Amino acid sequence: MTDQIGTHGLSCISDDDYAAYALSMQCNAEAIDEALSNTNESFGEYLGRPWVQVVNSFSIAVSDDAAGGSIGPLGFVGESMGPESGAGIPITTSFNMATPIGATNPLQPGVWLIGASIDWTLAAATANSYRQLMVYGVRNIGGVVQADLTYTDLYRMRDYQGDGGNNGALNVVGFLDTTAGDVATVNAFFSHANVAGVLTVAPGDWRMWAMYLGTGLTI
Amino acid sequence: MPGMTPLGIVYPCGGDTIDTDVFIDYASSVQNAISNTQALADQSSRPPAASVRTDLAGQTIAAGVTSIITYAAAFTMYDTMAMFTDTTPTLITIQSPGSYLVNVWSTRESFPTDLFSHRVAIRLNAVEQAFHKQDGGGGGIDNASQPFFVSALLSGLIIGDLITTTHLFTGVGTMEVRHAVSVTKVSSS
Repeated sequence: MTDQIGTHGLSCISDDDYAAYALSMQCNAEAIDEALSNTNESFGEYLGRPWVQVVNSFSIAVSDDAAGGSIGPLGFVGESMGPESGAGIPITTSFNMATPIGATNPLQPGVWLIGASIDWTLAAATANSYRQLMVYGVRNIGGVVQADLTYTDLYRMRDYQGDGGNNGALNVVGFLDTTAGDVATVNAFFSHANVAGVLTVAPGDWRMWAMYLGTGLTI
Repeated sequence: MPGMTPLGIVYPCGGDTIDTDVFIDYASSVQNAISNTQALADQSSRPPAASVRTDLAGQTIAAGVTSIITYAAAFTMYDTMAMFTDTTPTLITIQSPGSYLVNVWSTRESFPTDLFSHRVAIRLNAVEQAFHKQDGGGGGIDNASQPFFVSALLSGLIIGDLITTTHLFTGVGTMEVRHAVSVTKVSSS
């Protein structure tokens, strides 16, 4: 006859049941193993939290039409990443998940840290013209991934062309709450009003990333 | 013939002689399993992390030169393997493989003769990974311009990878800048 102790399924042997030593030790060993395995699994999820990032593989020329130009949205989904006109942007995607984030594999519910960075040079500068970098979540409503610029949790950084030379760089970071399970992916979008000449983004200088922080957080 | 759980806890089976050694093996294997879990708990609650900063007076940098920042002190180091040492004060050296979140908070401590822009970058093995430049709208940056922040996720790092930060300003003269940098391991892969 064994007596239960504690709340983890462990037991001790009654005075009148010395013959059950072996079985008792086996049961306790298995109960301890199960309790520790569950804890290890939780730590494993935390220590191996998912992340994904993308980087442009080749140089990008950002157009300079009458309204300026833009590139993006740069998304993890692997689509609609080209400039507003012209070919798509070859990118390198890296991640530590079983499969990359995509329309059929959306961001897992929880809270993510998201960020983007871009660096460029100018052929010719338009004084006081703006440059803007945004990073945001794209919703999936009713199973349909919404338009690229249908955003949630948008973060934006803006600067203006001054006397600092024909180059620039922007960086933005923020939180994305996917707890509701309706966020399909993350996008970054860069735009400018430099009408005097194209902007050139060298390989490796257009980046976006997302890192899972965990579930159950209240921001 | 003793049995064993997946985590290596050894227990006697029917027919085994239960003597002192059996209890010792049992207790030792339970202790080992708990210690392994404790190691995961330690990694979760105290991941390798370092926060370093420049000298309080700031580092003097010259206009038009991309300067690598020298850190004067580590004010936080949850890392017994020491990502930062005084002997290599411009470097944060990765000692544990994984992915890291790197943040730089930069402030300007003095006014140069003239200031048109300034730019901060995070480098991994001398290659820029994140960047931010402030460029005032015409006429240069007002000397009261705000400090700024740069963040990067550096993924898949290996032991020996080197992180540095740089600061460049365009204008005239010299100025003092301060960087506060935090490097935190956020994933083991």
